[in-house]
Amino acid sequence: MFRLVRVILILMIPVAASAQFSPGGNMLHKGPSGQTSGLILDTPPFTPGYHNGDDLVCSDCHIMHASMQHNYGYNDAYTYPLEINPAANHLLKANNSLMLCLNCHQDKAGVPDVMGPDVNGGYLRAGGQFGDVGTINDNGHNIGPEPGEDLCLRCHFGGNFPTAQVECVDCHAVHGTGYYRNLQWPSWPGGEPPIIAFVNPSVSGLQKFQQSNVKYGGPGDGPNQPTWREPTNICIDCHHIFVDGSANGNDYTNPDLDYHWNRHPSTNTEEGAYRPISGLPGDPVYSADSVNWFEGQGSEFSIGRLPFLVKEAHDYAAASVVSYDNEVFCLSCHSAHGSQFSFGLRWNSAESDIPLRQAGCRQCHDNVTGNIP
Amino acid sequence: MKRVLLFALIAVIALSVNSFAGAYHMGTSLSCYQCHTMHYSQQHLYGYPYNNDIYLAQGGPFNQLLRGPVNELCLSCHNGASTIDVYQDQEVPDYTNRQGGFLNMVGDSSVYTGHTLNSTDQAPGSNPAWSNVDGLNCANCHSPHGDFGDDPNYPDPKGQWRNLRINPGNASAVYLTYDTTTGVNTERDVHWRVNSAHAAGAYETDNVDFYEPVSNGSQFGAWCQGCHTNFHGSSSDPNMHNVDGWVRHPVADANLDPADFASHIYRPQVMSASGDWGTQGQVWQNPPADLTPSCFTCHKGHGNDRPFGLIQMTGDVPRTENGDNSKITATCKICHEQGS
Repeated sequence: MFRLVRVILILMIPVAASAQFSPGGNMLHKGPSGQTSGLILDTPPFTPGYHNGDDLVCSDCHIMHASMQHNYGYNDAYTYPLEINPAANHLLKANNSLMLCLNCHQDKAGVPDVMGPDVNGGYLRAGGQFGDVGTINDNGHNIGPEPGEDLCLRCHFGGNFPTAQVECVDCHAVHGTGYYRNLQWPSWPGGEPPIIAFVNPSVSGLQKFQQSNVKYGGPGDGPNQPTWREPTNICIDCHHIFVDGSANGNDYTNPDLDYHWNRHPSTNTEEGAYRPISGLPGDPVYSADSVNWFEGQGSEFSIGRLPFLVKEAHDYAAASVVSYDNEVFCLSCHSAHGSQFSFGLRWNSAESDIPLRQAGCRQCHDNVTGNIP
Repeated sequence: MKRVLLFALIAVIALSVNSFAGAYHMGTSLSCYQCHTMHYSQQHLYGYPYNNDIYLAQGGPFNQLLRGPVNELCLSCHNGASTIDVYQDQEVPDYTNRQGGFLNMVGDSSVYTGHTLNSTDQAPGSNPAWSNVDGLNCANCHSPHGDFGDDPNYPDPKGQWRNLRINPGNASAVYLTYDTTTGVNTERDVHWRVNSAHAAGAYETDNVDFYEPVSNGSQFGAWCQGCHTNFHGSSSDPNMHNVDGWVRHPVADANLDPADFASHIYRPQVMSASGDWGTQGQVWQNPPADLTPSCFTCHKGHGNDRPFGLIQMTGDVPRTENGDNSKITATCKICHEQGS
């Protein structure tokens, strides 16, 4: 009898998981979504980018009859005549959404290039770069044309985190959100609050996609905190055990709340986690080097100052201010898509020169490594 | 007795010329000599109305005793004259928005804006491949003598809508029936708000609407399918729909979101089973839930100045042949709210 109950319980696990985390639920996000009330008016003004409003061009992605003899007069990325055979779901111009996106976003001059070296000659793309389609990418996200419809099952209950794949439309809303890079909650597309980063208002075109022209802010804390979020809010959906929470850590990052972090802290405004490089108030074991960060001197900054988040910054200028209490978040160390380095890191952790190998760490922890010049 | 005979003669002439119902070039309005010449030599007119020119193309005599090559012959009346002008802009602007729009021709600066006369290209989506090796001509779509088909019960007014062929391209027996001002008949395919090709506005878009006598079909779509085979069908046809949904844009068997569509004060043509199309210029209160788009919702049959003959209208101002917007997205957003 006990054995039978055990078998039934085991069989129910994937069903229960699927029911809990299916799109439309909000189990992964502790904070209010975009569809709940909140001080949404506090959201910083934002100019939507491409794939929004008037720049949402249906024919960029859709083909009505799976056959086009010529373009619409736009200089788009396709070669005509174009036949989609067999005709694709959602009337797409490719047989899967990943290849559809890459039709334009891979090696097409004038369009943000997300694959490999930047065909546009950019210095450092804010999103970084993916590896090859369908391969395990040690340097960032694995992308594949059929990653699986159920987000949770890609990693759980038979899925495997290292081999799990994503596609562009997991994180980017195909019809736009009106906010930064059209980012969405993969676990609940459309349920997300405004997700914002700040783009240098003085640049245009592809320069808007360069890391040097993108800065990050986050809403403040305290009661009635606003509902807009920093871009890394969407990381929670898959990387929930890496994401920090509460004033002094959560079960994943600091389970015994003793300031000895079990996983690296990172700002997560949705769960009230603010992680200034200058340390948490009252931290008896603070060991970071906010002075080194603020001064920005030394070989560790030869890789460029790592991205940081400025609490309560509501525009590009405010989000650009370097200070002791700049906050560390996922994008400080990792490129969202990936990079040319392991784990999508922003520096080469396999660099033969040891100080440079540590460069990313040393920007905030130079004291630990002995204040290497 | 002479008065009776005189009256009868006048009545016959009047009926034969002015009072026919339905399309021109068929039945009592089919005038042989408008298109044919017996000896490729004509020195004067016959004295009838609607024939004020002696057109004889150079290079004849022509097959079928025609007055010229088909396209040239048709355009001798239907381009630049007061007859409905079907090629490029209207030199005599009789219509604000021609239902069919207008054609282009091989050699024109733009041949991507609709049907192209003289084109030998394969019809997009045709299966088996269809083309006219001699060049696309008017008679590929329109029956020069009108068409009753073989159906003795073909409803009045007799003949196909706009004299469209019963056998376009690879198709056969595709009937396109219509009613006129004589009465609403939702079993027909087209509603025509006049009753004669000579009536004012006979070819005006505002005087044409489309019924949906079969909930999962579109006779107009089936007609276009004669050449554009793969582009038409219902949700049970694999060329249109798979287990996950539509793979080509539906032209039948799919109801649009009436609330969003009807929020526009001007709307493109759609099929309505009940014959309720709302009133142009007004928000459509309580639209039917079964409105269905078809080919004519997005495209002008002949073409226009937009790529693919698309109607790019915002819905904010009265309908025109091209639509009031220069972006393709306008065609989509009249029904789809994404990005709005």
